[in-house]
Amino acid sequence: MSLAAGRAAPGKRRDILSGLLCLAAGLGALVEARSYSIGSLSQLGPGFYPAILGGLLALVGVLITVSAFAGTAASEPDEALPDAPDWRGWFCITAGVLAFIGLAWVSGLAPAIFGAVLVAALGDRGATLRGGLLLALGMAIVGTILFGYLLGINMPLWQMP
Amino acid sequence: MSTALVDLWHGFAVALQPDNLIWCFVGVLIGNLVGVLPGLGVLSTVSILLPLTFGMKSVPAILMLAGIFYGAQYGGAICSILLNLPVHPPHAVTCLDGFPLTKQGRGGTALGISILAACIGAAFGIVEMTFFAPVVARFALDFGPAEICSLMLLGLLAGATLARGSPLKGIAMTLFGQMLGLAGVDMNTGTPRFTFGVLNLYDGVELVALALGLFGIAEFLKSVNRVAPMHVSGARLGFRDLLPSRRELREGVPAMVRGTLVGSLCAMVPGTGPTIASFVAYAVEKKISRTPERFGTGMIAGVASPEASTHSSVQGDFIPTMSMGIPGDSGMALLLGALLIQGITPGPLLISEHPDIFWGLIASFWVGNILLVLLNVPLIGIWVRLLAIPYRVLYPCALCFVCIGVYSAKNSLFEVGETLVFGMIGYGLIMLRFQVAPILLGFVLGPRMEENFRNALAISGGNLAIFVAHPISAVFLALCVILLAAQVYARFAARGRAVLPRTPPVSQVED
Repeated sequence: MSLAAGRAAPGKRRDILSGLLCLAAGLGALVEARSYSIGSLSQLGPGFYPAILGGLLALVGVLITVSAFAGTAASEPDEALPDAPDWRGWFCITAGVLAFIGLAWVSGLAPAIFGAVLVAALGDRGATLRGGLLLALGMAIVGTILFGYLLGINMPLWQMP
Repeated sequence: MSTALVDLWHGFAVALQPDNLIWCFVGVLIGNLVGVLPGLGVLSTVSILLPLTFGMKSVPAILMLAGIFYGAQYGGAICSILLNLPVHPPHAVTCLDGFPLTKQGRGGTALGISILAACIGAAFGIVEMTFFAPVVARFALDFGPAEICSLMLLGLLAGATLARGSPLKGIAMTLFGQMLGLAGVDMNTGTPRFTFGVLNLYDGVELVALALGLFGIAEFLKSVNRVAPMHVSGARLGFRDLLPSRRELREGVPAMVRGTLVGSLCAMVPGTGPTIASFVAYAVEKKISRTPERFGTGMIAGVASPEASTHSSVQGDFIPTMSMGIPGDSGMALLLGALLIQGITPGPLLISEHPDIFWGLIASFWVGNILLVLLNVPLIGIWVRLLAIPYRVLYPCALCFVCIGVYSAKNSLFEVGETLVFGMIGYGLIMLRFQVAPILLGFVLGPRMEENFRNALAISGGNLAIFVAHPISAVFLALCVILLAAQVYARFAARGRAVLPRTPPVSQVED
């Protein structure tokens, strides 16, 4: 019993946070929607529907928060998700996508694939630089042939900046 | 009835054209592949391939994308049965009895049973679609904006509340998804909404970017360094191992029939995808069994029934999408998006206006399922060996496919950045225990719902009573109320009691 209660605490905090987030997003949408024209019921303006959505989201947010306080667990703790993100993986995956954007911008498809795969691969705790380089090289070759030549992607394959 | 068969005959002529046949094969092959591989989802695969279909003709494009959906169901069971990894939600419940069978050395039999169940379930689902979808479409022809709006509301509510997790949070996610769907320049008035001055957003949020952010990037962020390396036991599986004994068949076949019926019923209810169908089937099977306590220790029926249910519901799920234009779950929402991109408006007129697509699709279901059995039965050993590919190799490659896929949707790098943002948002939402799938449903339905809402009120001259004055619309709204009331009742009546069977945790961290 004490174990279950101990587990419920982060769940409760999480639900309160979720509810408040929904409330904030809903109110934000409501405020934003008010800057568009609401129109009349027979001739709805562009702001009417977003305003309804925002209002409902805020209401749902309140309900989630209230039921979290009331203790009726809104979320089932069925998935064993860790509470803290894996920062190394996080950083490398995000950086991998950014590397793709940057390299595709300046030098084309092949370097972009190489960079994205290499950076992302280093996010694994067991990764080695050699393994990452090999994987990135392989993917760059396969990807360039597949997307560049066979599927004709609209991006230069390789260019000097 | 006979017209349906004549039309289906025509459909086979379409599906068996070499071009279409090849794309159907490509679809089911890719589907089967991602179904087997843990860490690659069906939704992200379809999203990656979606931009590639922009240049294709509409029939092969739809056949291929649909093939990925049902093809993945064949592969998904392998992971559950052999590794106890419920990475593909519709097959999560198969772990409960599938993995104990593997531990007893009967993993091959369990796989054989799952393939047989797949055939029976899929066949029934396709027959259901053949005869039922045209009837539904004829019925839906009379729908005006008010009916469509109420029906969409029902679909959204069902999708949000019947899925796993908190119903309130599900509703919040459909609302959020609808807002994302509204972003961009309003069609009627030209007002930019929710764009915050970003010019690239004037066209609206890109469907592919949203789907790949939520189901691709967010999934990588969640799973990196958390998927334990696989140790495949019984990696040498051949055709012979799949054959069930006569006793196992006697146990399994009736369960498959029951599962099929449950699945086809679930397919009728909007918002209940294959995942729910499989859970309900398992619960039913356990309830009517004479030995319910033996479930979870390797019962054949515990594999047969949910598997049949999943497959019949996956096929049946196409019915509301193709006959009314109302997708039942996020996967079908994606397919609906693909149809819209091809310039085809899904709805009751689809069957009469695009018979090639509708009947070709049904015929391709038969062809595709036969191809899948041919792919799975003799080649099961190859699929099983694929399980050994480690996640650290998979995710960087998948990430690069995601980037290229999003880029090719609009040939713009802005969308790649958009995907990253949605990935982070999606990860945060998953951490807060929101289900992200209803976002996609809301995203696709939101703009169409607003349009129908506007039209309904324009017709009635601003009188909101139109939604209850039209009898069909009133029925849909009544169903919405019943659905909500049932949720509230269930919350207070069964507090703390688990309605659905528990499955092992998705991510297994190895210390």
